Amino acid sequence: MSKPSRAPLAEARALGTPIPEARVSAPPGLGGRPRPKRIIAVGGGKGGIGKSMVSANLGVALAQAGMSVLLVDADLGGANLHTCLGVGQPEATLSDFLRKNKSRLEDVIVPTGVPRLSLIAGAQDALDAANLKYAQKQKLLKTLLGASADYLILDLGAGTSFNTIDFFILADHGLLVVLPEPTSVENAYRFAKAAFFRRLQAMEAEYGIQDLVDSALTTREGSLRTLHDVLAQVRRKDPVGAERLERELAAFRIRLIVNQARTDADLSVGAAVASAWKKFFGIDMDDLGAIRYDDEAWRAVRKRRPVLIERPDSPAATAIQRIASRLLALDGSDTSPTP
Amino acid sequence: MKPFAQQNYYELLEVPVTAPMDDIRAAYARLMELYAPDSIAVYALVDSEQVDALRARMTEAMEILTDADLRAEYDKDLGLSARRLADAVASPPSVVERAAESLASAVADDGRVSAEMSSAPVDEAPSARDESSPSSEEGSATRKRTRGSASTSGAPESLLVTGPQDFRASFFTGFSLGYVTSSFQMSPVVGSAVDVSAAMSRAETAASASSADASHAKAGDETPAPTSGGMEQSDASEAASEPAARGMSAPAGETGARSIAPQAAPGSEVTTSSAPHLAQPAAQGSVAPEAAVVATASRTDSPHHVAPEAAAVAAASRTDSPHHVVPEATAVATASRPDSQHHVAPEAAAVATAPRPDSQHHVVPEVAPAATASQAVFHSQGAAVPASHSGGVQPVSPAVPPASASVPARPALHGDAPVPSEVSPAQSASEVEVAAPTAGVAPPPSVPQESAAPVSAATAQPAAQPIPQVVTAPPVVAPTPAESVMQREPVRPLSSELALTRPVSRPAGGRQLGEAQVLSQDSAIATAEAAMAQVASRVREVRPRIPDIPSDAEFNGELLRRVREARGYTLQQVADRTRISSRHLENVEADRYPALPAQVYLRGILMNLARELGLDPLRVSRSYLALASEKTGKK
Repeated sequence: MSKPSRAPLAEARALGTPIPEARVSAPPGLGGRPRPKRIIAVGGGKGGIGKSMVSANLGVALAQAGMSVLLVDADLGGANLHTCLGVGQPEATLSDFLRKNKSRLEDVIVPTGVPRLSLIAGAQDALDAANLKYAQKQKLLKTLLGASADYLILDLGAGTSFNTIDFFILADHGLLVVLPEPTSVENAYRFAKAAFFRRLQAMEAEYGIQDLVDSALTTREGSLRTLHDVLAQVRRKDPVGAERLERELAAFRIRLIVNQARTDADLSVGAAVASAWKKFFGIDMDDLGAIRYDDEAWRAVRKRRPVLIERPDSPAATAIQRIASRLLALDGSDTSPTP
Repeated sequence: MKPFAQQNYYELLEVPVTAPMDDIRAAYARLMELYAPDSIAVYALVDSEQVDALRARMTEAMEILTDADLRAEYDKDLGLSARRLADAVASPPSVVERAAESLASAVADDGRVSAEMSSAPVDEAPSARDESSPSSEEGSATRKRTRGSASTSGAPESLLVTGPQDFRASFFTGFSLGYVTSSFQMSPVVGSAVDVSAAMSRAETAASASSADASHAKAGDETPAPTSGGMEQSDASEAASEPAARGMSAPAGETGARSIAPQAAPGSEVTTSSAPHLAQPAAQGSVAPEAAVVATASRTDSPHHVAPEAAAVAAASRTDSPHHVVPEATAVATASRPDSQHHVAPEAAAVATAPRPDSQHHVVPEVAPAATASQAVFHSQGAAVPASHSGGVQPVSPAVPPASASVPARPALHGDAPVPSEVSPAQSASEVEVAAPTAGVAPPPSVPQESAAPVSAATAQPAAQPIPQVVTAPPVVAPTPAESVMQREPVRPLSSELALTRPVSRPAGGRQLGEAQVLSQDSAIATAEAAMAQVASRVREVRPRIPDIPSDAEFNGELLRRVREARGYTLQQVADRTRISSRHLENVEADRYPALPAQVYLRGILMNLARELGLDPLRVSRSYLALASEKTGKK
């Protein structure tokens, strides 16, 4: 955005639609630019919890449901979404786009072999790709927002760096993948909190309450640990701003997916986490459902094929289909896309 | 966004305010598992001390909500006295007490409401009436249907049940926010009530016919709509802007559903047989009274309905058997019987009246009890004076007092109207479909002017025999009365109503018309408070009046000591009665915070102590604990 890039608006406008169905009516106010209807970000904080597996199969499920889907491997430092999809080593990756030899997003979009599903693979060669510069990130974010597809699925990397979080809070659906394990839950909470704080920071300028949030965040005195504390602090100084802030925060919903549930009790971990989250932070979290631990899923990864295609009737595949249909239902019921 | 520290006990345990104790325990067990220290869901979510704090608070919540008395207190604090009905059911023994409490609380609420919305009530009241009247008429059916079309409740009883609850719920919830809404809901309620009665009457046919006729008659028209009653609840819940209302109504509906069919029969009984109820299970009876109270308190308009409904509801919840229903009816009637109960009932009526700007409404409630209890109307169709009716009609002497109470109220209301006594009955009748019974009573006495009066008369006659006539007549009447009421309302000062209330609340019971008027000067709040105090003192042990404590007083040890001494208790007496060790009590009174037990226990001590001293346990514990934590520097 600030970078004098060679990716001007015209590019975005010209963004090719690799798939004919990908034509999406542009929302008003965006100058007729194509734009993904919905952005789904899949995060989770911890590594190895199946983010890429969920992303890939969710993409397949949505594509199979008739949506045009663009999968983006935003795991800049450890991209392997293409592997999950069995695409092999892609010729063009995100790093090509970022490093300007491919200046148009459409140049790095590769087909996946699944109808209506295309992929932007993660950086392969650039060893410093994970350390995205601010300007690069802005360019990427902006370009992704201009991508045309019904669904844009961002497969995020592990960790809670801003590079990851910023993609997460950009999304309409922030999918948080957790395993029913303390390590994963711990990281998921951390991720969620980081996302909310980042969201706070992103909003503060917008609402002219920058100082308030900043001071709230930096107050060392009994350091503010929760959003409640922050809000309380802000409210003390600016009740109106705090209210708007609260509304904004409440509008940002994290949706949980429990992966690799091995027991029946594990299946309810998502609900428990959502409940605890709400109890302590007063923010709703949705439980999208659990995916059973499934050897088929593991075998499918070994075969480098999405389990949804390899074994569509396996428990994991059906669970993902259920999640996809739930997302579709959510989007169907609310027609106003978040900007 | 509400941190758990600010959640009330119900929110904390994630249960509806009407949740039975078993549900609360189950919820508690589930949550304790969820928030167990080794639970994965809270791992690394927050500090362990926060989890501990949450667990402690949940335990506290569970302890309070699973103790009937504590829960009642807590509900009162929350303004949820309606829910007490459930409790009452759960614990039959303290029925009377409960009823008294509920009355008191209801009164308080009413008082508050009236105070808050003194202006609003007038407008609303009329509107409510209007609605009700139409509903009672042909329109009533449609209305109900529209509203409750969704609702499925097959049995009229259920409808009734729901109606009252909705009513209550709406009342409670609405009193602060949307009075209008509540009134709106109320009107439907009324309709439902009517329906129910009608349904009942049909079911009962014979005996009930006579007694219930009047009510039935009205209901009769609506009978088709009985189901609508259920719908009403649903509507109410839906319409209810406030969650509370919904929650309450929902549960109500459930209960109603359970006890659907059986009630129909009972319904008629209700009208007629109040005496049996007395004999019947105390619990039921108690429930009924409470319901009645609540209803009255909350609604002026529908009080009658409520009462009957409440009774029905109670019964429904209880058992299917008709008896229950009867008990309910009894409840109202019952109130009159036992002294304490009597007081309660009258008071309730009074309360209702007092709070309400619409004198008519109030009147109605009162009348209703009288009518229902004695059903004197039916029996003594020709009774000219409402008061006399109730008295004469009712076999049970207790019934008489209520009746009389109602009578006074009426006069007061009527005050404006030419013929006080007569008018009032008529009004009430017209206003409340329920009134039907009342109407029956009123009819003879009632002045021709009021359409209601004629109607009531009609009803009364029918009571003896066929329902149809009655039915038609009542509806017609109802509308008119409503109108008249409306007109009157503006004219009438609240004070007059209050006055009515007062007398009612008084144990003396049988008030004279003149008296009521005299009393009218007091403010609604004052009346309500007085009534409440009386009820409380009656029902419970005799207790000296609490010394004046400013509303913002901080309950430190010193104040608690002064209150105790004002009551003439020694420390040891209190210790013996509360089973709190005198050492703790000493420390509490001496504000030796460090020497006091952990907060959870301290709260229990404070609440018990406050109860023993006749103070508001929650207020005391909250205030004291705040002081304690301030002083000890704990945050």
